[in-house]
Amino acid sequence: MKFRRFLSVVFFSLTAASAVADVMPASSDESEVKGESRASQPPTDAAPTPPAEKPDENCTLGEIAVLKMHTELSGLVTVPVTIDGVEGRWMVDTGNVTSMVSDTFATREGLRRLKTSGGTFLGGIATTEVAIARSVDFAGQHIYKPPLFIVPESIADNDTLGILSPDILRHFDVDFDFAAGQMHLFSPQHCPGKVVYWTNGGYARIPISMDEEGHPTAAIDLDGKELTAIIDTGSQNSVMPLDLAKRLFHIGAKDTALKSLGVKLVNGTKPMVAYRYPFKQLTLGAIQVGNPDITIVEESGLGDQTPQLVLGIETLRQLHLYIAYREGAMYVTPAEAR
Amino acid sequence: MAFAWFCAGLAVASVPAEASPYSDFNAGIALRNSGECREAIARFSSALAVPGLLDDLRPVAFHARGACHAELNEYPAALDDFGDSLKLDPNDYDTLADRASVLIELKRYDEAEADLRKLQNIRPDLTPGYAMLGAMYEALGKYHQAIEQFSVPIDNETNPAAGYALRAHAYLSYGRTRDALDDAEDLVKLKPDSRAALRLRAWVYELRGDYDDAMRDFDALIRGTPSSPDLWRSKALLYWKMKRYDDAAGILATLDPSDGYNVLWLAIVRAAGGKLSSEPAPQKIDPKKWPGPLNVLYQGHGTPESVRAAITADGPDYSERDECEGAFYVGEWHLMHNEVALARPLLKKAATTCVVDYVERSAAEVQLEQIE
Repeated sequence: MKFRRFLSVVFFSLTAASAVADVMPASSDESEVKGESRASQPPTDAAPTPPAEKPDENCTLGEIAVLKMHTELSGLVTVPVTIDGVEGRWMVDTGNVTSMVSDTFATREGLRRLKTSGGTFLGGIATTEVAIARSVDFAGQHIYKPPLFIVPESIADNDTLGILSPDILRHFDVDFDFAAGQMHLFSPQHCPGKVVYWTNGGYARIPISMDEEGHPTAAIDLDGKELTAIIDTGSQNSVMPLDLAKRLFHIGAKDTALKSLGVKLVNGTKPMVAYRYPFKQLTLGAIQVGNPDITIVEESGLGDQTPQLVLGIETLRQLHLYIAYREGAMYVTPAEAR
Repeated sequence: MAFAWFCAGLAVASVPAEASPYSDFNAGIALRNSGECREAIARFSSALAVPGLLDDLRPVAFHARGACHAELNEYPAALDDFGDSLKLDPNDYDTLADRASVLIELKRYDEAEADLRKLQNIRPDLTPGYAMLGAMYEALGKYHQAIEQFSVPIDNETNPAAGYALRAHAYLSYGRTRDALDDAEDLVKLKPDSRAALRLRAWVYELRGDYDDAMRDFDALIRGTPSSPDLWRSKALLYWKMKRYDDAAGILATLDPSDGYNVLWLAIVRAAGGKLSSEPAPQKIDPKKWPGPLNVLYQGHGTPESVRAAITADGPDYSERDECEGAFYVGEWHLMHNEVALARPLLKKAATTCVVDYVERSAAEVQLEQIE
């Protein structure tokens, strides 16, 4: 008996997508495509309607939208997005770079495709095409002709129409209220530090920065060692390379605490030996996650783009996570803090 | 605590983590993703036992717990949970699909069909509704209806590649190999870089007896993945059908000798080439684990009756696959011993009862042609 969704896979998100500017036309008529690009294809950076330029005098957050956030069985979350008039679930993936659309949808709707210099998912699965949709409507914002990478068929989820990534998300403050199943979008024009509206209790403000590829990264502490982590809602697990784990935590080859999980699949296709180690505490600012579940994988299968740590949805779901891209910070509390 | 690793308690500063329906829900998701279904069920049960879990998460918790029950073959409990989930979220197509899977497993086909029809109505653009219903019809021998279902993703252009692949399979089950080849060709045109498409076409060519065309596709596949033992074995079996027994044996002799099927086929092709195997018995094959009883037979230490006893040892739920394979390989064993009269009914049984996916079916057809 085959259950479609019962496979336990380690799922990572895109680590190395080329910049949108790298998009090259597949057709021989290069000038036409470039001309269209200049005339009618704004960079996704500028695509959503800019929110209010100045913060409210009373320092209230400017809420743009509240979206129902659906939790999939994997723990990953989806929100409704409309592409060319078709609404569907899009996975929210802060660890990606450029938003993506399913190959099936792109084919069915006859979206124009362009060859690109490509990007690579962890596990080495490449994506080499961009589709141009007529429009994407998200949270009341109309985005005209956004270029969207095509999700490789081998890792596509049949139900998910696309992947919503920071090229669109970063125009907002994105507030993940996992416990309430809601994603709030706020104007990034807020008074400094006046963000945590959901609780009067303690919270942590953690600086984030974008790495060279555009992933949001933050410094975290794992059992007393500082690491750079990608904040990745598109990764099912939190993941660390084996070599790094051995080096930082002095884990010997015969350490009985390092338990093999057997061979896992990265993005459903790349087999890799995985391990688990009983880390005691992961700290983000003042927030502590006890006994964090971190999957350790052999680095060789991850390619050259291996981050120190991918902080996946399994860990992030335990937080109320507010990402203020423009401020360069994220605010976190326990998920159920009210 | 058995699953301490997965219980990532959370605290602000020194505040200890407190158990809550939401933390139980999260732990359940993590445990399920780690394959720890028994523990996941316990955590989902805790999450659902008391008020407090967000209404939107309750159907997910029921669905996930049901999925765990299904993984553990606890089908009644799975159906209860899927039903509870659907009461809260009647249009969740994932839950409908998973409930249909369980209903098919329980042979409650009418109910499964109702769920899949509803899924199709809710999301006509999703392939699983048609794929699952078509596969159910195909398994029931309702080939017309199966083909009708698999044609939908092609006709409405939602997923023609999947439609071609599934429909080609149904055509093969139906014996319409020309139509299967048309679909396989269309799939290769649609997905020229797809190895799965090329594999399908090779298989269709082979079943049609177009061995040279099949060999061309297999060689292309092997050039792409030269270390795939499955492809090499497929090529060896193709050589056997082409009566190139030495070539077949040359390949099989290089494959993993701890794989019982490799050993069986090596014996078959050597016998066909007039060289009865005198190899020592492989040491790594478990004689009790299928196809171990067949290996024991081929090594001269068993009898057809002992194979039969091994197949039926599990009682009325014995594997249909073992039955099909048992018929073929015991039939081949009789052929090796020049017992054609004993081989014929077994090969006929394999040719008619093995589903089209099993190599033993087409191999039995080839043998029957030769001995008739």
